[in-house]
Amino acid sequence: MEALLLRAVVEDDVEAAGHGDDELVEVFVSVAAAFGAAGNVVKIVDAFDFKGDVATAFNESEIAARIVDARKVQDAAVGEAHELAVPHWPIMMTRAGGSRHRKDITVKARAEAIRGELARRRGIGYNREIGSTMPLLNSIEEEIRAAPSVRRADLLQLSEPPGLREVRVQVHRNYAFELVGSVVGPFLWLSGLRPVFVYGDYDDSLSFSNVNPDAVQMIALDFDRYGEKPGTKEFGEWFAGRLRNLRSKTDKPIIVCNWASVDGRAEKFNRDLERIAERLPSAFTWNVAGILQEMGDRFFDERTTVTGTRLSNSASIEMGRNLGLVRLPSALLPRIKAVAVDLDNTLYDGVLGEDGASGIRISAGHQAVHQELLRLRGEGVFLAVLSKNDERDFAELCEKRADFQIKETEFSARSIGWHSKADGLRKIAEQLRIGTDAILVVDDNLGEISQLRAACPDTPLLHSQNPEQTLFWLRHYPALNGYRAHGATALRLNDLDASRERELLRATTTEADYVREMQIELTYALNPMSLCGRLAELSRKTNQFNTGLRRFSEVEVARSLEAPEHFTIAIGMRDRFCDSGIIGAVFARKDGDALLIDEVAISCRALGRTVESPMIALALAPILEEHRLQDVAFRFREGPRNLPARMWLAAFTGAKEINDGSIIRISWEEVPQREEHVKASVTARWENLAG
Amino acid sequence: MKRSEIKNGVAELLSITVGRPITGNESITRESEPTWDSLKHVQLILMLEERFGVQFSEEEMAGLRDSDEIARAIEKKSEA
Repeated sequence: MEALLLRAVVEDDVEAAGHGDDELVEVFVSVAAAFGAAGNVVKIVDAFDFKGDVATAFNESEIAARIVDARKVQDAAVGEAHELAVPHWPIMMTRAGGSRHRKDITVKARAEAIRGELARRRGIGYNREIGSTMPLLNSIEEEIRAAPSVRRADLLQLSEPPGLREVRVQVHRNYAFELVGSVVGPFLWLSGLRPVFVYGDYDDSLSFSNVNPDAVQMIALDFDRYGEKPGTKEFGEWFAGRLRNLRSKTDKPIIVCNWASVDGRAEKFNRDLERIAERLPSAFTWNVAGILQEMGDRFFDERTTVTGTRLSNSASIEMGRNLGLVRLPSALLPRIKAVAVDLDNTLYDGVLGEDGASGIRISAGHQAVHQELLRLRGEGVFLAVLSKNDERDFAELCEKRADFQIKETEFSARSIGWHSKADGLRKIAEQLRIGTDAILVVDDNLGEISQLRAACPDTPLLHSQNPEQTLFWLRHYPALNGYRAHGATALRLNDLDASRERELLRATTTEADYVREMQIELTYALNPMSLCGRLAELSRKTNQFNTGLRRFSEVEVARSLEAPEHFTIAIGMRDRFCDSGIIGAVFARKDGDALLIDEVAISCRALGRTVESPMIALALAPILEEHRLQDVAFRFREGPRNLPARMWLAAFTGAKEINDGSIIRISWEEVPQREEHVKASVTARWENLAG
Repeated sequence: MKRSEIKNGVAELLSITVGRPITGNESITRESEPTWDSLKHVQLILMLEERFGVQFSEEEMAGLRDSDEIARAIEKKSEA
């Protein structure tokens, strides 16, 4: 047998771990030895020597698993959602097997067809740019991506679409992650991103000596290699310390694989890991243990001497799929906020207008789709109906068919009628107060899908041909799953219902009475670390009422929350109709005798209640007073949609001209209507949420 | 499975591995193909196992160094 070199792959711009930092780690006095040598314990004198004890299949000089592309789209890794244009979403075409349209073609036959087609193209110098727009190719490609047991060869033959943005992912690992990394691309391409994996040496000690601050950071460890240690408190503290250390070196997202093991201690370890990650800004766990649970024995392959990993081929592919479709997009992209579903042949088989509520057919597969939609709703994703149908038929369906599992009221918006789907989509977006680019449309009709694609090119689309595929893509559609739930997402649903009641009140009262009758309560918290994620979300996601458009990352917010003479204020709002949660953020700091306000961001859910000026005045007044500051100065940056913020700023400060990049400075005493603002008919209180 | 089918299947997977078209009649070796590195080799073995429904031992994985050898090994395993 060939003696494979026992060296890790060193990517050209990441040097070997050589100079670890202080937290390195006495716990590594002994570590279970390399793959395939169970029970053999190696004494580690210097943590850096450890890398030499790790077996790998790869030769010293080779560059592994790097998707090379001469085009440099962006120098830095894509690490902040705001820097990303919303990708031109692919149309997820679904498998023909079982479909009404193409029953004659089996999945296997189609997979053979694509292999033949791809082979043919290789031979003739296939033009990728043209190919990527071919609907048939897309259809087959999506089948490959969604197949229960997708094959490595099929993935490696898929064509990379043009115009992707590069995202660098630096992997800190103790096994050959390359077999996972090499198949991530075909999945991540669907998010408009092209991964470039950067590997350092195998390093159980997590020295983080050459962190690329512009790369997404991934920690991929086989925790079984640490022997008895992972279950100990000492190990947990060490690991948390290493994560903090990595966090201090970059603002980019950190993704940490959890412990995929049959070891009974893994479950508790993973719960603790979840808590550690939650406390760190922009740090996410990756549930590889969940993949092990689903795959069972198929997860491991002990031929580690050659492969350098205990992951089987199937597990590597499944991890690549999960990373590319779910984990990386959810760390990098803003979440899709709503799913708008067609009715006929999407949520059931049949045509409601012809078959009637009693005649349509709802299979177990359809019910699984209903449940999946309800799961998403439970996470704060709006559901909407976008259908060419009759409202009365839909009402009858919801009323009479118990097996139609989504209640009428669980759809937060609807467009049911005979207008175009594009118009219907815009109507739904208006009802939900979100952009059409934040709504995933699910429809069985390719013609409708194509028209939507033309009319709303930024709208994510899912072509549904059978319930099984629809279910798969609802679970795996990029930027729809894998997000950390927080209070604001659940409150969003209630707020929408309440907004209709507010509109009714507004139509029947004067403006002064309207504010009074709403019984608005504002809650303020100064520098609340516990709301770091929500504050960053407000900065990144608000478009209409955002004065600075600074798009602070979670890490930047965390930094300002701890910085001296910085005042980061979270604003909560409730009224007689509902609790809207944290809807506003003010990012300010002392600048001489002025309070410099880098950004005011207010969620669009809070707009329209005409209390923006009191809300901000009540936030600023106590800080100005306590720190004896005379002036307020607002930074303004113009964006495509923040005219409401500009108009508010002009009214609040009395400034006649507000230009992009300008700072509007005014004495607090001279703020027009300052007294009226602070005495408005709202209740305000400050809370201590600093934890 | 016929030998020609095996050779064509191996050639197809080798094409993916080395990034250029390979025909079933063409013989290539790891030494002659600079892009056939150790990661690509492991991937090739895994793809061969997927395609032909066979499994190689660690020794076999490391020992397979050219297209003819690979085709013969699969043929032998298919017959067994």
